[in-house]
Amino acid sequence: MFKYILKRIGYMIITLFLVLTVNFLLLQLIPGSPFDGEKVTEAQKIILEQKYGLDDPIPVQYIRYMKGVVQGDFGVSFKLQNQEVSDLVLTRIPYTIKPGALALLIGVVVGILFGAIAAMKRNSWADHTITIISVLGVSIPSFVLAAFLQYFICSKLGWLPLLYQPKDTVRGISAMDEFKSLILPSISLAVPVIASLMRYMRSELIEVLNTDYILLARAKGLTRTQVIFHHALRNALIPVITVVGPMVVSIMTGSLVIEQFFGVPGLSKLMLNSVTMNDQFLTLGIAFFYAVLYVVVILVIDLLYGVIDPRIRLTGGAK
Amino acid sequence: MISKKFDPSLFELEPTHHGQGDEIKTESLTFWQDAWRRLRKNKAALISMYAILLLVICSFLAPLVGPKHENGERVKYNQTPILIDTETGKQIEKSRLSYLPPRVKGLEKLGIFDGTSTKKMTTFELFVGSSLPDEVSALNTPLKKAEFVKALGVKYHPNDYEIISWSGKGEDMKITIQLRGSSSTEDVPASELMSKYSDYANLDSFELDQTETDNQGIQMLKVKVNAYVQKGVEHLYFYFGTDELGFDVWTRLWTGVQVSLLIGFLSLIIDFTLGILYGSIAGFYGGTVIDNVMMRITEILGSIPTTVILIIFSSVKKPFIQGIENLFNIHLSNVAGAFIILIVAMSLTGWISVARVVRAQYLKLKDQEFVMAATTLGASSPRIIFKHLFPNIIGQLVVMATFSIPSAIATEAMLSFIGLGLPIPMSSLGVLLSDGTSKMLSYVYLMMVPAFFMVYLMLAINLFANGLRDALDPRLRGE
Repeated sequence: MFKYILKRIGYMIITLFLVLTVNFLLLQLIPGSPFDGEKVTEAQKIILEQKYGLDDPIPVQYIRYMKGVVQGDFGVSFKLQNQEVSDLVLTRIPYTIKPGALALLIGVVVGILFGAIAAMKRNSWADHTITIISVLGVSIPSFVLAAFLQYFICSKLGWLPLLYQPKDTVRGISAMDEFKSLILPSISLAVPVIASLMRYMRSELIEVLNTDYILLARAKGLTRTQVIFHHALRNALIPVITVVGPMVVSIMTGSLVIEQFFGVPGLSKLMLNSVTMNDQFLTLGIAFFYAVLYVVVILVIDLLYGVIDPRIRLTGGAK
Repeated sequence: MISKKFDPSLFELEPTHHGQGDEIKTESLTFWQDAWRRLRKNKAALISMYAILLLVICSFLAPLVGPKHENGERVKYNQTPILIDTETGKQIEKSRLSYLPPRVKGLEKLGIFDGTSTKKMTTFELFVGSSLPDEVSALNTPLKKAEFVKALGVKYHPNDYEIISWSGKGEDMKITIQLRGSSSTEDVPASELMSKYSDYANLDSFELDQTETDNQGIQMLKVKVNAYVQKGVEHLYFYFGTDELGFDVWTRLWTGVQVSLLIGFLSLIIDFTLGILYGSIAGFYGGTVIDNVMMRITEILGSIPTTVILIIFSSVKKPFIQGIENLFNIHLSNVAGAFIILIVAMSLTGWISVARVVRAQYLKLKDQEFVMAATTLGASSPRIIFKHLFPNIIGQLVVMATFSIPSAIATEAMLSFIGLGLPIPMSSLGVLLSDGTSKMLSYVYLMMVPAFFMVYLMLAINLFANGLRDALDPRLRGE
């Protein structure tokens, strides 16, 4: 187990190194300097490039940047008043986490609940409705859904605010208002999660309900409710929990568009801005952060598989 | 014991067929015939298949009935119609062709697709508007109110009264108003309240629908505007309306469907060519160092957050396009370049899952009895690969390929959405959607039309792929 974890961490480091290198080289390919087109003279441009070390040859820049990263220094933003990249990223993280966590919560609870209902009332109207919803949820891209929700719920009905409003006591925005404005981004992110979890939960529970031990439990006189809650649900949940990991990843990717849509000042908004402004270190820093989050999530899930279901052996080899 | 005598003449001896007892009566079916039989039983998949075919056929035929230029040529997806105004004999300006809502002959009588849209505005916006000449708008101050009203040629300043009710249409429209500070009402013909500078100076172009007072005490009017009448282009019909630049959404939509499907297919071809090659090689060397290294590479590449790389890659367009131009010694247009970059960007990591499946299948099948049997019977390696192994993988690959099309379309749409997709005069479902959603609050049809077709396409392909999976691999049939 320990060896396995070490090996995985080794791969993680290689992956992160690769991501950083590829991104660094890609960004070097952007023609011109980040200071083109601004109101700076040639002389000022040279001074600026010297200041950030952009006039050095690329290998020198690369080694300097990598050295910095190893020491936890991700450089400064060119365009945002020389702020530290790590500070910029840290201040934005809560705004990405809030809708993401809410979406995960909604997705897991609703997905498992509806999936279980569909399995228990198999071939009823509820089951068919849930199946249709899950196909729709998988098919509709989250930003199309976001557009529909925004148009009908915010613009037509006026139930919820159009854009995200961070809590701000000066402007009279309470935590409740913030929560309200988080509902739609979270739902948009949660629907794909709900859809696929429902499908998983349904087929797993149906499988479990057909096993002999459920029949035995029923034969011994336990009620249907007791059997479902004590025996069936628990066992059906094991494989379902293992797919929550990919869901986290899909929420992270989904947030790239959804944040843009609802004006959430999160990481992806910062990233898109930095890409369009050619703010190299900032782009690199955020991409690196995403990569770290991504590989860590994947690792944690793989390790959890073993914890949740002891039948899965992690020592590897056999596949 | 009660016995019953049967008349032997009631019975006839069935002739015996020796040696035919275990003959198979039904026609033997090939793999694909069997799959097709199973697919036909799946109603949803079958309907989806016809729906996809219908959409593809429409995308080629429907533009034929789209708008035409004055000279009879069809309007292309990146052209504003060039039309002559019969009254003035001059070309109709672009501004008069932009933002026209959907309008279809016949359907307009039913109250849908009739070129009208409901807008919310203040009395001032309706009767005075915002496009005043400088010398008139200079008078718009409290001190010069009387002069302002005179210059506008209206009876009262729009801020001085509230609309109570109305009757009649067009030139006969009468509006009952209540002056501020007075309790009596007054009937005024709408033409006396309308200034000549207003966008709605043509009284036929709008109908009052409702009034409401907002939380600041300002009266808001809901006005049903017919943009075709308002802009004097009543003889035109744009089935899905027009956008900001006067492009016809109908034409753009069908081009967009074609482009989106093309993107889906091209990225599918690249992903599967690369994936099958890579997977076959790894599978062929299964268990050796080469296989191990190749799989570690896919593992590392697979754990790279695709979207982040995609965004960075798409933002670095220029040098790549130049590289391709130098390599093949060709000149690429802006659109072609963006198109190639988009496809390449989406294929960066798309092939990995294909390679994994091909390798795993390869390894699984290689050691099975039927392969051994074929080898024993003297079949050559190519024969084993193409006759025995490939048919076993092809079903799963076809299913994966079908599922990959909607995800490629969605990725393209997402990239367009964050401004890294195809450049604007180009059309694709993603481009249309991102344009539409940015204007959705004022011109909802710009969002609804591409969104509807996007959902239609994604749903149809996904349902079809589900059916295909059940048909091609009955073992995988989900409960």
